[in-house]
Amino acid sequence: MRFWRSSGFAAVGSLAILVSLVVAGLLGVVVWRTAVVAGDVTDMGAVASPAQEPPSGWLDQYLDKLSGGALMAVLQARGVTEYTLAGKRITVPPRSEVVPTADTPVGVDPNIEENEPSITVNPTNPKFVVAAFHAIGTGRCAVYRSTDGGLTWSFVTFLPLLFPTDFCGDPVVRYSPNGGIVYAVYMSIRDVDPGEPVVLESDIVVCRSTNNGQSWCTTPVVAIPGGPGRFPDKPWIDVHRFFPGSNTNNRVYVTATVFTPSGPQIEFSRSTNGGLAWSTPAVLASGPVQGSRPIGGRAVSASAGVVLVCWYHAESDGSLTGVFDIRCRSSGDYGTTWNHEVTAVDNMQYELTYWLGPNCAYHRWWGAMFPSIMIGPDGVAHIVFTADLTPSATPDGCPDPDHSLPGADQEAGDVFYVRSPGYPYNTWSFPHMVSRDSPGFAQGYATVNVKIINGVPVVFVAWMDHRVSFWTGAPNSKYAIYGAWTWPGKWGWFSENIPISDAESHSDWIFIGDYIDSATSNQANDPFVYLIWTDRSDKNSEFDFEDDVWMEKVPLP
Amino acid sequence: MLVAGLVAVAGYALIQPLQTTSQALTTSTTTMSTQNQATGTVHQTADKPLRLNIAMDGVEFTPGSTIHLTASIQNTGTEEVLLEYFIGQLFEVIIRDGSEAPVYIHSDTGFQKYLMAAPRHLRLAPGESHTETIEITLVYSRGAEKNNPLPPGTYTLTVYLTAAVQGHPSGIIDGVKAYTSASTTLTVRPR
Repeated sequence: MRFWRSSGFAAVGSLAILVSLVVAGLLGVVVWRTAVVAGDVTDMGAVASPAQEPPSGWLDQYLDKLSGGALMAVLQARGVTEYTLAGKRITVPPRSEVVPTADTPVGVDPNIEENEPSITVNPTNPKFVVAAFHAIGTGRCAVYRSTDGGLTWSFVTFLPLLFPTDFCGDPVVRYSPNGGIVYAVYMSIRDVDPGEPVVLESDIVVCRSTNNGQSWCTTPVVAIPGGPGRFPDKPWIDVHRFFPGSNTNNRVYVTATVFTPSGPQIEFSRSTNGGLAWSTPAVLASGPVQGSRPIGGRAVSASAGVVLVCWYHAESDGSLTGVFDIRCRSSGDYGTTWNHEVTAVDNMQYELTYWLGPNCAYHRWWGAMFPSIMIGPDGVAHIVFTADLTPSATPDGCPDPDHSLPGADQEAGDVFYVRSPGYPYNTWSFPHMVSRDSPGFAQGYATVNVKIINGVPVVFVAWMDHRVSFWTGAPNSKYAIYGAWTWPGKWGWFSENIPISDAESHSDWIFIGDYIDSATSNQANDPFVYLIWTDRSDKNSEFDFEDDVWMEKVPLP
Repeated sequence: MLVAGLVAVAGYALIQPLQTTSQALTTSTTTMSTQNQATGTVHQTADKPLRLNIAMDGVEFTPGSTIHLTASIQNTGTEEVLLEYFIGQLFEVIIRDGSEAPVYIHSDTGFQKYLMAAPRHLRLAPGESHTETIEITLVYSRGAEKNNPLPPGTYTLTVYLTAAVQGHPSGIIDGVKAYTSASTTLTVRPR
């Protein structure tokens, strides 16, 4: 993590960039990126030397401007075990014991476009972390896993498809509440008519692992079927995240948008036997709806357990223009029956444009309106989403010469948060803006999670943030991952926005994988949120498709 | 090293606006029409390796009739070209009336624009082509006249290659994010 703050951000940020470039040259390494590659760090653990001051010189006065991970990497590379900074004596841990608060590579094949990552950590044993993401170019979705708490990652397999010539899309992974099963949900897509025009079908399928992601099913199970007149899109899967027990450990839920001739609808399917069989999908909503996610809540008995599903609704003024809603339905019997629809966020101003502005210059953006949801151990539900306070005159964000309309501006979105105290989740707070930058750049594709710190359920939000493009002269051409947190007693107040990813990524012309994802364990000695994102920090053109996936363990206060 | 760092950062900052404001510089080829088939006028960046060609199964149609449009892209360069596009959205088609107002936008007629599925890759070797046939019913696609047949008159049909091309900048053509475009005219006659 970087530790500079928004005050004087431009000057400090530029200075840090310069310093880092110089440091990289001096050390012969790229400081931002090498600190956490296991092969580089393990041998350094044996280095020991007396307490010493860092070498004198102009560079060292800027060491405290480096990110935490980069600073430790510099000191460890010099063999420093202790040093003094501003009168404070700091112990530098051996490299093998470094708390990995720097970016960590997950999927970085230079020949594969890896993006849209999802991550999950074993709630009872955070040594095991599993990720899945697109491997565009292969037509498959890749699974990676870590057995050392996210320090190092290894490719496991490509998720199996329903038919051999299918291609994979939109994977999401989640651990069961007791850590016994890892679920992966994804789209298995095919062209059913090799002739023209192209006719596509998809099914939402689930594959699972019962050994922490080491091996996976050979044939996936259909959770939400497609077929003629039905095209299921972008699934999400989740469990009773903070409520393990015999009533919940084998329960798992999937939602997706299903496009039909009469329009899109939100469909829900559930499994009570650990993902081996799935219920006939229930239609929870129809109309201008999309972007749903499920989450499990409190479980009282074998028949009484809470499930919440929320989604985006374009409102009566249409998609990509005007206002929009976030709507939800809850169930008190594990998704067997459902309460009426509730508007959690009503007439939110305003919808995002299809493409990221200014002037539709960058990747697909409108999906950032879709909610990310979580129910904490206290039963409180949290939603984050993105809205644009400075609406565009055109739905796609491009200038419209036919009607002499300008395109979207650079302030193309901010992250907002709402909460509801408990089941049946009929009342929700007013939206609270989480992302704050001035002058405004685009923030979006937020993820929300909860981590219990000293018994307190800390709510953590992270998002893609384009404020880091301020120095380029091309607004929103760069993004980084930022975060903030809040906790009970501080509702409505968030920490200042903290930069999380150590390097700036370059935006893409059409696609950066849309979503980022987060995960937490239930272990007190694991005070982290595990964040994963599409990384393009080695790119300088939006017309270079190749993406990578990186993650970071974010320590919470 | 400090000077090198300053130069690198300054140079990069200067390059950014240039990279993101690139627009398609267009040249034209000749429109060729026959009684039974029409081919398109291509607005093509001179140094781009992909050429877009379009053809229709006629030049005169009746209101509400369906035309079959063939859009073909060919790699005219010397190296393989990689395209990335969202499924069902390799091309966009817009029909404009005599006042250049859009009356038909192909993406209005399907759900593909709203899919959040992963994009696809298409690789074209030198000389290789990819062709898709698109069915277009000559009706208004939006507004108060939605689904009503286009009235008699002369229209301009434009196909936009909306795929991104690896290493080759796209731009905004007629308000559409596109790599290149091709246009032709069609006439709607009274029944």
